This record gives sequence, C-alpha cells and structure tokens, in this order.
Amino acid sequence: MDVKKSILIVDDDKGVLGVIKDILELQGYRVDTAETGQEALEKTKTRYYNLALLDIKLPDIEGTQLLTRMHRDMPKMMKIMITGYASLENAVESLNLGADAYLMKPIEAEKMLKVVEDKLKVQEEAESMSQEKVTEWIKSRIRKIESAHD
Amino acid sequence: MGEKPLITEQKLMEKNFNQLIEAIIFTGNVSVKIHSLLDETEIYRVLEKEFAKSKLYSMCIFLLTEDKSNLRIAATSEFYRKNKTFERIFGSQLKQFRVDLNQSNLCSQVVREEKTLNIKITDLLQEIAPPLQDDLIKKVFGNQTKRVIMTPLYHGKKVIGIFDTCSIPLTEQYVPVVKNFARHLSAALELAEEHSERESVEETLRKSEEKYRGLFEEAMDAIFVADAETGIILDCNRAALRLVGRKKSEVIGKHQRILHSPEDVVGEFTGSFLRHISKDDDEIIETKVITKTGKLKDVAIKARVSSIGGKKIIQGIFRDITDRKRMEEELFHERDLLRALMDNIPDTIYFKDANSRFIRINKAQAQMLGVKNPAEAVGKTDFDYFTPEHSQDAYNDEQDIVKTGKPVVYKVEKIRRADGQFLWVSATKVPIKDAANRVVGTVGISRDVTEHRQMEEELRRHSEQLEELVKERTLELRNAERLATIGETATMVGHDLRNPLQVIIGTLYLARENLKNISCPREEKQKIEKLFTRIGQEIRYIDKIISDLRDYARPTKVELEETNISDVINETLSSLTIPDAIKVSVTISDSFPKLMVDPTLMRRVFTNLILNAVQAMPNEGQLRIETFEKGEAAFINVQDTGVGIPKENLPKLFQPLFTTKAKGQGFGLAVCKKLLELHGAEITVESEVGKGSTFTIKVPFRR
Repeated sequence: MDVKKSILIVDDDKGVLGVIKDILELQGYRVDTAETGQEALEKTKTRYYNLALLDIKLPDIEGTQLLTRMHRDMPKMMKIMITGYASLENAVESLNLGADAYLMKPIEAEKMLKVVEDKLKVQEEAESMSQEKVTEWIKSRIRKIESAHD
Repeated sequence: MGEKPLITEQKLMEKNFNQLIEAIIFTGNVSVKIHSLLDETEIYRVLEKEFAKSKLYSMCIFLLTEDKSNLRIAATSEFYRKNKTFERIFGSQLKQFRVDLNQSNLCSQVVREEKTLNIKITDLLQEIAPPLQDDLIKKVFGNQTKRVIMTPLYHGKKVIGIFDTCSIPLTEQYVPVVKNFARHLSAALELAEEHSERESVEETLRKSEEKYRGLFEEAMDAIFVADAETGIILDCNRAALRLVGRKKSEVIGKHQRILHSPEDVVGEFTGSFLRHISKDDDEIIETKVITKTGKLKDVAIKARVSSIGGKKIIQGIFRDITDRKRMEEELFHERDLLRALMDNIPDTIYFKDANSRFIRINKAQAQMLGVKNPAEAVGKTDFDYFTPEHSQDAYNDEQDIVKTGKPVVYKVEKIRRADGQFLWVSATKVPIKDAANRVVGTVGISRDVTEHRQMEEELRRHSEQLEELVKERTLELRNAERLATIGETATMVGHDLRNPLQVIIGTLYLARENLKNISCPREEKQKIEKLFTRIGQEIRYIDKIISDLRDYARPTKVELEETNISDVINETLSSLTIPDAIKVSVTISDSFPKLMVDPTLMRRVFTNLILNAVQAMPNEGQLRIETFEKGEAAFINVQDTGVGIPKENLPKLFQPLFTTKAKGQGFGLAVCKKLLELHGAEITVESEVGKGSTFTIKVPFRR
C-alpha cells in the first residue's frame, strides 16, 4: 500500500472505537476516532478521510443526519453505516441518504475489513476513472491543437 | 053507689084503655122503627133508646147461648139508662150475666114451654138473681107492684130467647100486645140476620174482587185485558202502565196496536196478538213493546182468551225481559269472546273435572293431543295421550290443586306431542270453584316455550363460549404483556449488549491475529486457536438469541401480495447451508395457487422451520416440503425424519423461550407462529419421537 488510506470511526462507545481502530490499524489503515457527531464533523473539516464508519446512534446527533451532512460536504468519502440489530427500514434509509454500505453490529472483523477494502477499491477506481477522463480530455485537446496547426 | 063506682070504674077502665092504646101505639111505633133496620145491633140500640124514652116501660132481651142452657142479656133499656140497680142486684155487669135455665123455672117455662108469663118482677128477680140478694130486692122492689111479661122470641119456629117488658100497669090485657110486639121483633131480628148473611156473601164477593184487583194491580208483570175481537184494551194494571210509560187514560179504550212497534203490525193487529188469538195453548211469544217515548223493550207475552158474558176477552201477561235479553246477549257475547279466545290463541287451554278428565279443550290443545275435534277429548285424560311419566306428573299437580285450591303458575314442563315431537311448555293451572267455593276442576293454559328455551340454551352456551373466549383472551393478553415485557427487555439488553459483543468479537479477532505472530509450539497454538473458536461460536449464539428476541418483540408490518410460494421456498433453501447428509425434496404442483402473503415474512418462517428441521437431523435424514389444497385453505407441510418431539412438549412448542434443545433458538417457532397469525394463517405440528416431525402451515384463501 503506497499511501496509507485514512479512516474515521464515529461511535460513542470507547471500547468499540478502540477495538475497531486496532483491527483497522493492524491492516495498515490510518485511523481517527470521534465520539460525537460534532467531533466527527470538525475532524472531517480539518482533514480528508477516505472512509468513515458511522454508528447510527450517536449521543448528540442522529447518525442518519450526520450521514446526510457528510454526503453533502464530502461526496467522495466512502460512508459505511453501522447499525444495531438491523431493520430493513433503516438500512434502506441509510442507503438512500448516500451510505455506500452498512454493517450490522456485532461486526465480524473479517467482514468489516472486506467491506472497507471493497469500498476503498471502488473509490480508487472512481478516482482513476476521472483521472483517465482528464487525461483523455487533455489528449484530445492536444490533438485538436496539433491538427489546427497542421 | 052504682054510678059512682061506675064512673070510677068507667074512669079506671077509660084510663086503663088509654094506657093500653098508648102501649099499642108505642110498640107499634117501635115496631115500625126496627122494621126498617137490617142490623141486629142497630135494632137493639133503637129498642133500648125507645124504651128508655118511654119512662113507662122498660125491656130486656134474653137470648139463648149457643149450648141453649143459658140465657144472656142481648139488650136492655137499663143499659141505656145506665141504671146501676140491676148491676148491684146481679153483682156483675149485665153483659156478663147468665141465667141458668135449669135454675129458673120461670125462664124455663118461657123458653122450653113457649109460655107467655105475666108475673111480679120480684118473683123473677128472686129466681134469676144470685142468692142472698133477697133483702136488696125487697128493699128496692118490695112495695112496688111492677109486673113483667115474658114472652118467647122466635127464629122461624125455634125459640131463640125471651123478650120481657116491665111496667106497673101490666095486666092480662097487655099480654097480646107484648106477644104481638115480640113477633114483630122476632121477624125484625130474623130479617136482620138474613140480611147480614146475604151481606156477608156480598162482602166475600167484594173482598174477593178486591183481592183479585189487588193481585192484578200489584202484579210484577204487566197485564193487559183486551177485547179479542176488536183489539180494544179494556183494562191494564200498574206494571203495564209502567211498561209502556203511559197513563191509564192513554191505554184503556185504545187499540192494542199502540203497544207494539210498527214493524210488528200485520193488518189491523200485531203479529203476536193474532198468534195468541189463533192458538188455544198458552204459547209464550217474545216480541217488543214500544213506550210512549218510542223506546223498544223486549217482552215475553203469555195470553189467554176467555169468554166473559158472551164476549171474547184476551188477557195478556207481559214480562219485561229487556234485562234478561241484555244479560243473554252479554252472555252470548262473553261466550263468543271465550270461543274466539279458545279457537284462535296458540296457547293450549283445557278444562278438567276434579278427576282430571277433560271437560273442554281448545283447538290448540286438540292439535297437541292429536285429535281432530276438541269434543273427542271430552272424558279422556292425559294418560290417553301423553307419556305415563308426564301424565302422572300432571295428574299429581291437578289433584294437589283440587285438594288445596292452590294454583300452579308458569311451571316449565317437557312434554311429548301427539306427533312425537318433544316440547317445552310453560304451564299454568288454576282451580275452578263452584258457588260453595269447592274446587270442582282445573283450568290449564300452556305456552310453547321450546324456542325460548332453545334460545336460552344457546345464550347460555354462547355466554359459556364467551367466558371461555374471555379467559383465552385474558391469557393471550397476559401473554402479550409478557411478550411486551420481553420485547422491552430485549431491546434494552440488545442495545446494551451490542457494544460489549462488538468489543469481544473485535478483541477475539485481534487475539487471533496476535497469536499468528507469536512463536510457540504449533500444538500449543492450535489449542489456543480452538479455544478462540469456541468463544467465537458462543458469541454468535448470544448474538442470535438477542436477534430472535428483538424479532419476536418488534411490531411487524405485514404487506400482503400475490406470492408464488414455490419461489419463496426455493429462495429460502438457497440462502441456507444445508448439510449434504440431509436430502431435500420440494413437491409443489403447478396448479397450486398463488397465496396472498408477505413474502419477506414467509421467508423468515420457512428459514426457521427449515433450520429447525436441519437441527433435528444431526446425522442424516430427509427434509420434505410439500403443498396441498383442502377445502377453503392451502396447506404447506415441512417434514423431517429427525429426533421428534415428546408429546408432553407439543403444547408448549410455540411458546416463546421454550426449547427442547440445549441450544435452541427459543424463539424460532414462536416467531413462526406470530408471523403466520399476522397473516390469518395457522401452524400445527405432528410428531413422534424417533420418527420425526411435520409442521403444517394452513393459509385460508379467504380472510
């Protein structure tokens, strides 16, 4: 992994934050944590995170609300909702609000890592796609200019 | 001496002669007076009065008593004079005075020998006066020369008494005068007696007529007497006048037509009049009379035609029967009402005598007994128609009433009708009493209450069912409360356990990762790895329990849609990992209809059932799923050949937190039941230990 991908975990449970941070760091991710919605928003303002794991239940703000704001402000950041015992409804709602995936507590480490990896790959592909497009556009411009000169 | 004595004698003779003439004139006058009298008492009164007036003569009339042995004084001028001398002499009132003929020679001579005596008064008095009165007589009459002429009185040729007259100058010359007068007196008395006899006949006749007139006038019935030929009313009584409301003058002399209503008039006469005249027998005709004011009255007339003095007279007795007629009509009316009641009321009615024999029954009762005509039952008893038990029961009731007079009211009895059908009736039986208040029978009225009774029965059953339902619902409610509590707890516990579980799972992962980098003997590493695996399994089990709890407690929305059940089952099967040792067969016919269910919920149901089945077959077995239709429902069987469920556990199988497995879900079947019930579907189970279980889902087509 050339550049360490950064991940923000938002959960009000320090224990949960700790163990997930450890698991993700073990895989070489750079991990930040936030215990409240407010803290999470501040952190995303000061630096870029490739991915955020958001607990749906937070002490100061609804997880879905946080999701909405993050989706608006940081559309490229991958957002994975962590729900309690899932009901189909809030899972569907989360996806509609711009979540890229959702995980159900308690999360098996392997599963979590796979989803995180998958989403980061998707992000990477999207980025390279846009990179290609820019390259293509530049190339076509150059060709135009060259042909104009011909 | 010759002349002088001659003159003297002549004078004396002349005087005597004059006195005699006077006596003749006097008696003649008296005779004339008494001759015109026809009353004996009046004769005596006149005699007494005349003799008292004469001052010269007194008289006394003795009459024989009935036994002819005594004489009594019928009249005496002394009575009139109120001269007490005789009373003093006789020592009693003259009226009570009696002369015993055997004691009086003088009287006896006159009465028995019919002699006329001219005697001294003292001689007579001495004979008839009570003894010891001689001195008194001598004192009063002693120096008097008064004489008495006594002569018999006759009735025909029979002596009835003595007439005597008393005076000073009575010589033998007076005897013929007195005798003559006595003859006149006898004739007068005889005439008076004859007259009084005749008068008494006339009196009788008169009285009899009066009596008849009284009867006639006072009769309760009206009586009219009319000329049978002309119809003219000759007489009528007071009741008759009252009957027609007229005065006597408005009836008598009028035609009999006026008594009756114009409709009754046939030609000159009324119909009833003509009928009475034409018939000899005393026919009673009922007709109407009309009063002066035009009011009609019902009468019964009995008439008789007789001949009086060659005239045909009809006498009619009219009895006012308006009241009777009205009572009759009322009676008829009452009878009609009773008959209408008896014939039309659906209740059965009977009248029985004191021996419980039918006297009369109504139509409904006849129908009950199975007789065509109510009259057929007369004289019969219940025993002729009903079961012996019922008949005896009814008989006992009736005999009790006859004995005690106490009625039986609204007694519900079961009876068998003639057609064999059993009925419930409400029977009321009351005594019939005679004028002396003795019970002479019973009246019974019964109403068919079968329907009522059945309704009551149904109501009772219904209320029992309701009670049962309430019990059931209460239990369900208690269960629901219990579940709600479970749900609440589950949510709380679930939420609180979520994070620690997450930490444990994460930590376990980290521990394993760490283990990889630790250098220690391979065996030791494997041992620890095994321990970690066991921890992981248990954590997953905890997680499942919490999930089930939440599923069960959470309110669930059902979204029905036409669902191909075959798809649901196949999707479920493909989402599950089923060990290879278990053979799975699904048999669903193409014609099996689509069901209105929530496919998501049904998937969960099948997931649970299939997982249960798999768990029941730890080694190997067969899972068979098949569908069929029966009546108004579709059925899906999920059958395994597993360990089976003991009978005693079957009832509790669908209760939450009941499990037979050491690691059961505890909620799996309860969730299935709950989800199916939300569909209006049912789940049942049949199981045999060692052979396997079959769960059957029943989904009604119409809900």
